[in-house]
Amino acid sequence: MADGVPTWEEVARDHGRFLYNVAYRLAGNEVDAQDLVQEALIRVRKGLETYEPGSLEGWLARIVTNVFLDEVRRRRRRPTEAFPADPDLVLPATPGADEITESLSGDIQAALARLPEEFRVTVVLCDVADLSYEQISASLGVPVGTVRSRLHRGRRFLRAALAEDTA
Amino acid sequence: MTIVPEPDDRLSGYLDGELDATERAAVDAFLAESDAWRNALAEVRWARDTVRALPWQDARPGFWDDVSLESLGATAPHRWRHPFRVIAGAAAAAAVLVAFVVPLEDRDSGNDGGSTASRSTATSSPDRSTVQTDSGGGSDDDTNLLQDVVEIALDPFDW
Repeated sequence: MADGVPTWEEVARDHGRFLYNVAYRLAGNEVDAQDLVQEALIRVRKGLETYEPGSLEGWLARIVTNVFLDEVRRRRRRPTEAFPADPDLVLPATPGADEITESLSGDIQAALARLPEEFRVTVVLCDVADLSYEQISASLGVPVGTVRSRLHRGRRFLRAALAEDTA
Repeated sequence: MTIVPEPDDRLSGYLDGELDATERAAVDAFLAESDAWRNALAEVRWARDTVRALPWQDARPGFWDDVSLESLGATAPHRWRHPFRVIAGAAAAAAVLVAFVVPLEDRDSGNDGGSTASRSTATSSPDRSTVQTDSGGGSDDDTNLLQDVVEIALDPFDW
């Protein structure tokens, strides 16, 4: 690492797991996550020439998110499930977060996958990549207020969706 | 008494420590006054904590070796992932095989008394070179056709 700028190999070795995890939560499946990571690493390789030391994982999360959104735009012709107008439809009690089983983990991933991309990306960047609202705002090019709104709606949708699944 | 609005996205900001002091004080007041706000906070917290508690998802064994080779090398492997390209490549290979291998076998079978048009030529002329010439000349149209097929198969793609 020279002047705080990691090499491509260091990024892949030290942050590849983070990158893959974010990619998987965005894509919702292994095959697409692998493609996202591969494309993201190609962009990382090019971007390292101009990378300015800072939050490396924030930078990586932004890159993989952009790759994901580019792919979503490319696939836009495909039909998608509509986002429910009212995310508060059903809210029965559900298990605590410390009781997540493999089955519930799959349910959560499925609920994430049903979120519209702008909500899913915001939730993943905040709750998986652990970025601040300001970092998410910069990554997505939207105001902080929009980040907060999307995050809140995304979480409420997830809660409702999981309550339905576990009811 | 505080006028309590409907719970809103300040709850997520509250949970994440992303509110300024004024907003935070307002949310504290609403939470003290309203069951709706407390319930909504519990719901949003559950969703947030549930996603945060998701286990790390790891790539399959060998993935990093593969991705290192591909990313360090070129992006060419991506091109082969497109199923139509794979199919077109297979079709082109098959066409080439048919164009060049089958006539040879055909020629050989002519020598062995095969049942094609070249067999009658071979029968009428024991000269091997004649058989080869006739056989090749007889399949010129077929070869050209197959070459056209190969070109068409390759044409739509930027190889």
